[in-house]
Amino acid sequence: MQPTSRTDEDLLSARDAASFELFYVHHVDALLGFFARRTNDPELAADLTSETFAAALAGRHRYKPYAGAASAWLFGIAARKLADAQRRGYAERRMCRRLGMERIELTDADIARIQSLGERSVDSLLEGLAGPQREAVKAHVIEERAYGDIARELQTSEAVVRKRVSRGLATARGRMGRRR
Amino acid sequence: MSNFETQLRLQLREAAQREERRGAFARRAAHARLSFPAAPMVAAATLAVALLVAIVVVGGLRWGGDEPVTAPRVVADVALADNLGAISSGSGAVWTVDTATNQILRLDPRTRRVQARVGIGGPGTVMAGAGAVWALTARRLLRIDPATNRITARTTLRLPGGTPLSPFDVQILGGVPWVVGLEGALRINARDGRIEAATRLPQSETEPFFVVANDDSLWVLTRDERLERYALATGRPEAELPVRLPGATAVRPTPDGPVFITREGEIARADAGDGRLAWRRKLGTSVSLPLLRGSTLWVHASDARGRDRLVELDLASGEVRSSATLPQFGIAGGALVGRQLWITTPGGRLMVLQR
Repeated sequence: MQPTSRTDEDLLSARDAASFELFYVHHVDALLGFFARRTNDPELAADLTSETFAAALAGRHRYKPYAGAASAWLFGIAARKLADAQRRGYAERRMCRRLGMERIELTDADIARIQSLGERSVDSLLEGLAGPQREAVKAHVIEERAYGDIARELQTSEAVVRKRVSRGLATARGRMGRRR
Repeated sequence: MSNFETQLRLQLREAAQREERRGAFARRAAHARLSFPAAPMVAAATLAVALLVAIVVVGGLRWGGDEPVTAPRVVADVALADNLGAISSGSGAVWTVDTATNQILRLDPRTRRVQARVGIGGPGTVMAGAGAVWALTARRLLRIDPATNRITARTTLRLPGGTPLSPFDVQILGGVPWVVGLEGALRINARDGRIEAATRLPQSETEPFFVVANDDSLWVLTRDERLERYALATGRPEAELPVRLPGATAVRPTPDGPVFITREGEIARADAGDGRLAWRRKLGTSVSLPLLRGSTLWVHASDARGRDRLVELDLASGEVRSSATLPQFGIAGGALVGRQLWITTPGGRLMVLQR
């Protein structure tokens, strides 16, 4: 496939198979990392990634470029699939079945790569944050600890922890936005 | 890229290519069809008129009246399948498509329960009328006998000379089934599903957006913003109108002139003589192809907040006469069932509305 200067919004709005494939290539690593980090289960992350792209393929006619970035639309689907999986305890394969897509068995190399993508997504979130912000974001967002608990450990107030998390996430968001 | 990523890429490529091949059929399916029961035999029509009169006399049915009315309310909202498609009413039952399993579901109009399932072997749409139930897939028309729920005929859709027809829809016109597609239309024998006659459309370099038949005409919405009308029986060109609604992707012919919709949630009616817009409304971020009943258009609309509504418009003026908020998102099809409007959603829900 040739490199292209087309935006993700163009690729998703187009109806041809090649455009969707390129859109997939742009986002598959990020999506695998997103699911790997949140599920800590490479098999589940792979199933959710397949189902999310299948849903995106089946529903791309509903994507409207003026309503937002294509990546945000894709990750919106991903978040819903993740929430469903957490509720059910497994990833549904409804859209994959509808599109005639088989379940893919993972090799050991696949599992290792998905795990590394999960770790990489954490690293990229924390990358470039100042020490106290990095510590607060890691404790609250990654380790999912309460603000009060973190404040006690750091011997500071809950308000200060909240502020560090908020500023850290704003910095990370800004950095990710520039990358897109 | 890992083995998993490569395999997933290949599977998605194949799925996307299959979607491409479905082409026109997929585009047609994307426009949910709101349909009333197809024009049946004279006796049944007479009975329907008698029922309609009786109901109007007692003040029960207001789906197509001319006076301002209250909005219908949702009287049922039930899960039927993982995914649902088109819906149609006829032969004493309601028929819809389970798009996850590619089955036609026969529903009891009273209990709304599934009574039978008929596999159709691929994505498709359904229409009841002319004494049978018709399932249209990307390549074939299947005739289902409502007495036995069995497929009694499978017809490959080809024009004379062997050209495949890319089907848009199956419609019942004057008690006769017609399959309408990009290349033309096929008249179907209602008893055995055979192709009785074919009408070929002139082919241009670009595919039209939409093709639909009504009465004796075949309407073609082109990509260069024209609406062409051909004689359904012969394919002879009869008229051409400019489309003055930018971005129009589908059209519903009406006695007052064609009604267009866009992907951006606009709907408009044009003058049948010169194509000038008689009215134009933006109802949300997306709208369905409207259902016409008397002087009333029923339109499913979604807004930017994700709220879906069933909007009742006056065909002549475009005035909104009522609006009902729906409990579920999306629309896959709609059909009048007795005094109720049944709406299916892509998420597999059936909503039933009644005044």
